[in-house]
Amino acid sequence: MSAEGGITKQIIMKTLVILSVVTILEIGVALIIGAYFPTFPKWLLNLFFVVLSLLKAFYITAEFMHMKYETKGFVFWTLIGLVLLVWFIIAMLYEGNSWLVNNSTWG
Amino acid sequence: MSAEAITQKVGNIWGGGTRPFNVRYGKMMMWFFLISDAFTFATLLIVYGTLRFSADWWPEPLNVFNTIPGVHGNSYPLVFVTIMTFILIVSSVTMVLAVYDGHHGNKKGVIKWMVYTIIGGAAFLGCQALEWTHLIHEGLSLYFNPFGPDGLVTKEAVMAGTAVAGPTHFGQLFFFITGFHGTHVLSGVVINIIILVNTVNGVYEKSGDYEMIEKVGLYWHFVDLVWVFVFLLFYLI
Repeated sequence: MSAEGGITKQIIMKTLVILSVVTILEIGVALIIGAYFPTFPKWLLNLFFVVLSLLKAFYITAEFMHMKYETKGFVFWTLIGLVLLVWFIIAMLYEGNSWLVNNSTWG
Repeated sequence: MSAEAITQKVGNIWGGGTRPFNVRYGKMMMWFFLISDAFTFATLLIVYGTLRFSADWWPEPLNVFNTIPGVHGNSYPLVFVTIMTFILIVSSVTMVLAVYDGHHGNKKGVIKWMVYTIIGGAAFLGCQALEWTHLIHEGLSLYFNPFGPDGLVTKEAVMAGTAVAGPTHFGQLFFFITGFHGTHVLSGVVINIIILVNTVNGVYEKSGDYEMIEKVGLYWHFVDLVWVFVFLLFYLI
């Protein structure tokens, strides 16, 4: 068994607590800002949610999916392909925005 | 490095009995599948982003997802989806505990935690069915979005020109992406049931190796991982 090392029940429970707290924080901020601070800058709020979601994704991958306990080479060569998504996201969001600009400029 | 030194250093690798990256074949292939599946989901979610950026107005999640099944009124934003998220997180934890007990050769523990995981998955699917039913009753479909800039509107009012509908893309993306995720949950539950049956029959006890639990566990956690981003894009942003 390659991944027997590392994870303990204590770590599992710690990860559960982290995921729960982050989720509650996200919902709480969404509700409070939505109800009491409608003028709060939307981009900052969204950035906050994205960062917290990436944090959750990290904990799920590292602890629950054992990536923290695999060899460095395996982690690198498995996940490196996801780097392609960075440009995919930037390009397609830019594209979407261009459609909006075109539509509102030319009808 | 001289040829002898290389032979000394790596020669035994080709003699068999070792694994690249110290990972077994099945697990590595599961990871490769998950990466390809991640690209599928990423593409869908990026399409969501593109269409949302191209829309001049988009419904506010707090005004769309604001009810709990069986509870009267529509002043409970995000409560039901929070319950769904927690069901999925907890079922992920019970899956980790099943893998943990598998590593320690504890058959009873594996069975117990697998049963909890399956119940969690089924509960999530039930919740999703309730949510879909509710939204469909409100009028959301692949062709019409009742969540317009002036609140909930009917198709008749929009046809008569007295109200403005929301962007149709919203319903299409919502049903397609949560549906695709739900299909993954469903297949995850089916796979978990198969593995549970195998465990009960002592298949892994006989082979002395519970790595299969870990492989299906990877798939199950991946479903949870995708939900993090579905939750982010549909319910938070």
